[in-house]
Amino acid sequence: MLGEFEYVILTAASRLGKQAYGAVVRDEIESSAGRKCSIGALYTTLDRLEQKGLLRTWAGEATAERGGRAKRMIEVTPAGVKAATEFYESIQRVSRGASWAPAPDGGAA
Amino acid sequence: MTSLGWSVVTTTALLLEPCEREAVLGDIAESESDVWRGFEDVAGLALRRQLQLWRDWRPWLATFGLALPCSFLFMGFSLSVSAMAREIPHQSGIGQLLSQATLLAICAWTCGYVASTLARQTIWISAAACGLPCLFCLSRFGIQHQSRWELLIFLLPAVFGVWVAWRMFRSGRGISQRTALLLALLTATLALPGIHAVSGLVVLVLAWPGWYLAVTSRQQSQTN
Repeated sequence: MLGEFEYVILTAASRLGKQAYGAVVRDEIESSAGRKCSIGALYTTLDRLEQKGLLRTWAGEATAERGGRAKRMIEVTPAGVKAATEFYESIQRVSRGASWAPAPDGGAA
Repeated sequence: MTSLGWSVVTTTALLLEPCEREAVLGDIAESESDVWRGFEDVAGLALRRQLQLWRDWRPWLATFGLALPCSFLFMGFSLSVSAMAREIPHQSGIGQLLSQATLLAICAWTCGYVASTLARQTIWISAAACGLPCLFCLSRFGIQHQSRWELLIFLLPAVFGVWVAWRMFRSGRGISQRTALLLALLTATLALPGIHAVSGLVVLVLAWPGWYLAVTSRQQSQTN
């Protein structure tokens, strides 16, 4: 099963689609999850996810705003989509009936 | 970010592998982080990468099985060879001096080479593990008629061994099986005449990198 941060990265990368690379995934995580994301945590988790076959990364184009440096592009693989879906469903299942979880009719439990 | 701040970040980024350095510096430039955050990001990633390397057994062996114990033994060996050189006109024969000096050079070179081969990316930790006992012994040196720098004779071939291993890695080559076996046999041959209970143990410790090299180069040649 995925770790929480692994799930956050897969979700951010999946949402960004073909535009996903290191800097924008980091911004996406910081804005959507509302927490600080260090490059160290991001890159080492990307490596781990890549080793598990849940995403793939490659050297992308270099742009002027990056000082002519290449991007680390990210793409979620079908296995990554499956793992993230399973994680999301399991979180929903274990949260059912908890006071903080929304009730089936949309209100609080 | 000021140019000085950027210089700090790019210098710290030298701790990263070139391809990763490129992507990380690009991300920092794009996100327009301040100096502290840029430094924190790069240093944090470099630290994580170093810690990951220590999950493997090789850096442990290179540092605590090779660099640290051998530095003590090599300092003693270096002093012994230099004392022998000083006594040539009186007692020692030139043949014995040559054989011991060659043994020292080969063992130290092999240790440097093997330490660098085992743990290229953590070689600076191994170097520190070798250097700290040297500094300690230099500061406590008190033998009359001998210079304290004679302790460090072994460093020349050892550093040369590290450099050769680094060059070979860059060119994608390794030491040939024949050379490795020759080094191991030469070490044994030179060590045998002077062997006794204590020095035998010392030579055994100093000689294992040579045999390690012979065995691993054989495995590599079989794989290729």
